[in-house]
Amino acid sequence: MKRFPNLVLAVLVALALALGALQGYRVRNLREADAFYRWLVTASTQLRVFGTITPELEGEEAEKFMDRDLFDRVVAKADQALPDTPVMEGDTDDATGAPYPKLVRYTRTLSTGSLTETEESGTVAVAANPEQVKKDAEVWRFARSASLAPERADFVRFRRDKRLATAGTQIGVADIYKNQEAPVSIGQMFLGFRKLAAGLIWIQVDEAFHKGEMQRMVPLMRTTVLLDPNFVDAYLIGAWHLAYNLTVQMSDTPGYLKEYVPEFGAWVGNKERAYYAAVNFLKDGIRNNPRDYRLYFDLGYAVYAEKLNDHMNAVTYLSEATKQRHESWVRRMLYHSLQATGQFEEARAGWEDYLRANPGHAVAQRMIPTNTALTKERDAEALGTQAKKLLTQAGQARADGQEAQAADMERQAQELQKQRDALQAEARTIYTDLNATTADGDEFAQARLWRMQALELHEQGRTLEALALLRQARMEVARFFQEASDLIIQMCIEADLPLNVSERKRLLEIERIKEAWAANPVEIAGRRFDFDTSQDAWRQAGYANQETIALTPAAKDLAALRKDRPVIDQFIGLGDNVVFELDGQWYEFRRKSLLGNT
Amino acid sequence: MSVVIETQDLTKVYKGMSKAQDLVALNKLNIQVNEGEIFGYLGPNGSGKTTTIKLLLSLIFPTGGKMKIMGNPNITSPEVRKHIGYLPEGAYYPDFLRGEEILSYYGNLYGMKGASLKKRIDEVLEVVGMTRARKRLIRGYSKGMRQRIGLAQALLSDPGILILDEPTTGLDPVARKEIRDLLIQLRDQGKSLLISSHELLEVELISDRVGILFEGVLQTSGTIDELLTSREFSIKAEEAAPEATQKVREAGLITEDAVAGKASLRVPETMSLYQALDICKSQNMKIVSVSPRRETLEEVFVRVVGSAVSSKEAQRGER
Amino acid sequence: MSIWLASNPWLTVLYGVIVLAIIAAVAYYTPWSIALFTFREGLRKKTLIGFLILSILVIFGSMFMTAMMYDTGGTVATDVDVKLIKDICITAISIFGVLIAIFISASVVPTEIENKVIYTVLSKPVRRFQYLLGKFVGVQIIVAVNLLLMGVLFSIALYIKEPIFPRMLLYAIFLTYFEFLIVSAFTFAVAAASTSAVLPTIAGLFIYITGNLTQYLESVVNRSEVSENSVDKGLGWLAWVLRNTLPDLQYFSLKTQILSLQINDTPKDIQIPNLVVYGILYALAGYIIAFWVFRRKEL
Repeated sequence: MKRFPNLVLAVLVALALALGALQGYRVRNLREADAFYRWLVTASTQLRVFGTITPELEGEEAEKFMDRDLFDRVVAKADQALPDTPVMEGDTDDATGAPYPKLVRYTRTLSTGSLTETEESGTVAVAANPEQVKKDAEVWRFARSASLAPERADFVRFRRDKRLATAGTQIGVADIYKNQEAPVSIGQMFLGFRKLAAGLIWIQVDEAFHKGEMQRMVPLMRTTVLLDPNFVDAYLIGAWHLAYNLTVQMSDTPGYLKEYVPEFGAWVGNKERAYYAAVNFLKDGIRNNPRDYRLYFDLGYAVYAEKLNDHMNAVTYLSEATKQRHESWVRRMLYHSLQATGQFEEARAGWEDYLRANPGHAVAQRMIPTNTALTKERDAEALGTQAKKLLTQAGQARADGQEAQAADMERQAQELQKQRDALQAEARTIYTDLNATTADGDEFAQARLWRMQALELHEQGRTLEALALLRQARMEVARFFQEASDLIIQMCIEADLPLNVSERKRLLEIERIKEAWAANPVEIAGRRFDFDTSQDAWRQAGYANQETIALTPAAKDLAALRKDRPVIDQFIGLGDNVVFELDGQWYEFRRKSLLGNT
Repeated sequence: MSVVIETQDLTKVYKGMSKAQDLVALNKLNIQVNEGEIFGYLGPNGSGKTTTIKLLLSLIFPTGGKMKIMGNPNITSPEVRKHIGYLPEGAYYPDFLRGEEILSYYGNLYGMKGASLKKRIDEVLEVVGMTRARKRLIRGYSKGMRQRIGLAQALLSDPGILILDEPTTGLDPVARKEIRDLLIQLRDQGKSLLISSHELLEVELISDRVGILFEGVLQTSGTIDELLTSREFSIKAEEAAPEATQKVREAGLITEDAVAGKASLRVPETMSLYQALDICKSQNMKIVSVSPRRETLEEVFVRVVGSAVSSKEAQRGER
Repeated sequence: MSIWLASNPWLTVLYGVIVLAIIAAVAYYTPWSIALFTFREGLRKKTLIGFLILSILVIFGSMFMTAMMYDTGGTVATDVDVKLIKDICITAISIFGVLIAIFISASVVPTEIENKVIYTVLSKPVRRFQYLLGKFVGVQIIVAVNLLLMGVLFSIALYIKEPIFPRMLLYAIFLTYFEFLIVSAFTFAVAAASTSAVLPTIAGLFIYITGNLTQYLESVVNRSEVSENSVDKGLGWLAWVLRNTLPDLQYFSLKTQILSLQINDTPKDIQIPNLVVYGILYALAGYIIAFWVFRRKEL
């Protein structure tokens, strides 16, 4: 120091800078590992929830993107590196029967969402599940481990070259950004204050909303989440604006004016376009924030269930929401959606769970018997159909002269009918009880009672009385209106009775829809979501020759099937008849209630 | 008597853009300050006084030559520094502090602490006469008070050597007197003082030895008595008529003053006293007093600097 | 090799030891009276108080800003206003905090040179190394206290909106300090070389901005990799060296991330201490440079 002070100081500066640079290298590595970890969580979640990692990509694009390739490499290493973990419920990929890869199971969130309902919602300061924390730490260690270095390097490279469709903060993630690649990295322009920039743009979204400039809001919303992909509230409110505030000014598009959009796999009018925009917006949010239940909840409940009336998908996302840390009401909405898809047993089991956690919960107390009654009603109807079939066969047998066989069949049919009557009586008792014990009467139970009564009257040939009952009932119970109206049309047609103007208009509309379909191939024409008038409308539209497997009782079989492919997008008809295709096989079940989602 | 400050061929060149623009601030300076004396360091503005002091305190670094303080060539060592008190010229003292607070800050820098520091602060405040103002914020101090506080901080560690850069500049006459007395008192306590100044009278009044610096070169140095040699006389005379005075002047005497018959005459070096007295007598003047004339430092200064200037001009001319 | 450097636990231990040694050395050699004096003096600076007042205005202004927002409701609870307050406040703290850090670091030494206080100090038995260290530590105390003050105000603003103790905020403020430490150390180095505060202030702003843009060098490196041109290759090499030696302040953007931490977000346990070490090492480099230029500086 004394003799060569400059030399010593130069060496010291160089040493400090070198150490700093080395530490910078370590920090950069950590940051990359952090991004990599996030991507692993996102990709695993997408595999589990969306069924695929890169859903919207086809052809050339699919080749460009390396998501699946890279993910498979990591999954293979994870099987070696991660400790064993038991396969939990919902961890099995039923399509293959094998459990999900270990990585996917590890990154799955363990809910700590309180089953117990509390006064105040919105408190997310609940401590994380310790088991979850341990697992996350394990995956995080794995993500930054030396063994994964080549994959991490590839991840960084692919992300830089925009060859990952799923990577966190990348532009060009989802289809909504496809044509909006920014020329420069916007984030860098704000010196690390991009989150603030996002917030300030969000204020403009708010202003535009107040001025009613809905069209201006949409690009602003997208810019917001482009700047801050972790701005979950922007996704939530943005999707809500799209699905609710944007569409409220639109008029309904008549069915025959809707067009088929392959991207959505659905027939859409103006409103539906906005609904699907909301769906995509929320899905993008999920890609960036796979651990936030609110996104799943809004996607399942606010958009799919409430707006698109697509309870099948609603169940998918709501059950995912319950796997994340969530509020207790998320479960309630899931059970309602389960009920709406006809999975009464599951719904009841859920409600029973819920009641155990929240003794005396009024809704749960009502929904358990409701679902029990619905089960009985459904079973009764199935027995009735069976009995009818036997009676027809008996008639045929008698005509063929096989008297003994015919008598046997008739006896069987009578037996079935007796069982059916018993079940119906039980259901009726439950409904009556419900109606009596609830303070203002149970609307749902009342509507079911009226419906049962009307059907009974109709069967006995007292159709006019049935119609009178239904016409009154649909006025008394608003929620029952659509179902009752459709029932009225159906009964009138069956009994060859005249229809009133609005009923005739409805039929006319169906005619025009059919005309509109005729131009399209069968699998496109069939994708109808709001057609629920005539149970055999779809058959007339070209499905008479389709062999379908009827799911009766719907609940169990459906649940098993749904696990094959969580998102069943091959719906044909989602009215009282739900028909869908899985691996070339068509299934159908008859849905009992549209009144589930309260 | 030992030498406490010594420089040997001390040279300081401020580098310019080119060699021609280099500024030689000090050129082979050799000064000595002895123990227990006041060394008056004189020179016009820009002659290199402050440069020398800054070099002694390692605020700047020499281009060449050596320095020793108390015989120690390692002048930056804390051991040496402990014995130096320094009052910079026109320094500012953080005015948000009180007088005693700033002293305690400086005391900490000396490694003084606690009660002993407090006691010492009381002492120096007493010495500089600031005891009454010690609790006041420096913001409210007058120029003289600030200078006194500056002096107090220089005295804080009871240093053997005091280096004071223009200690009396900008002070009123009373304050100057007080400071002067204080410096003499300090000298009498055995401290060595290096006082730079261009106020010649001040220095003349208190210095034991002086050095005169001009353009980075020490022109002359020595004790006051050595420098202020008396080779002239003055004659005071009465009853000197204006014509008589005129005559005397013609004869070669220098008239310094001539009012209402009273004349004060100077005998130039070239003339003997007797000759002068004869001239006066011949003009019927009544001689009141004859005394040897002591040169003022100012005159020495002007003479020295003047000759330096002229020799420099001569050099320039030769070139 | 690179992985060994990136994740070797023993290297981490070694780093920890180095950092602790640095902190211990600083604590031991610092003349605390100078540091304290610098702190007291710094608190009286008008620019500093101005920035502090501005930051208070922004922090509490953010509450009014979000108060105007319509509660859009939706189906789940959202708290855009809390997010906005967080983002506005952390940005305000970052900007005003870094301005304070730059102004203070740029001015403490030049001011003392200008008003000659430095003469009285350096003529005392105080080595230049110690003097500079005292000043530097004093600056750090000012920056830290300011940051703490703004952090407390921020917490209050946040607490009014959402009565939960903002634990993450502490981490964010803590991290922000080390970002400022780097900027402050290099600004201080420039200040040690100059006699007025203007140049180092500009340099400090420049350091902050370039420090945030270091990532751009990466794209230069990437582009040069595909180029055949030897000039491009050379530029790429230079960019690589600069990218790896210049501090990257974007690393500290972690502070905004942890502030709006989502439920079940990535574990952040190791990034924070690593960033702390990063900040301290670069600050050390900055301080040694400062001492290097100040050691033989003519005052």
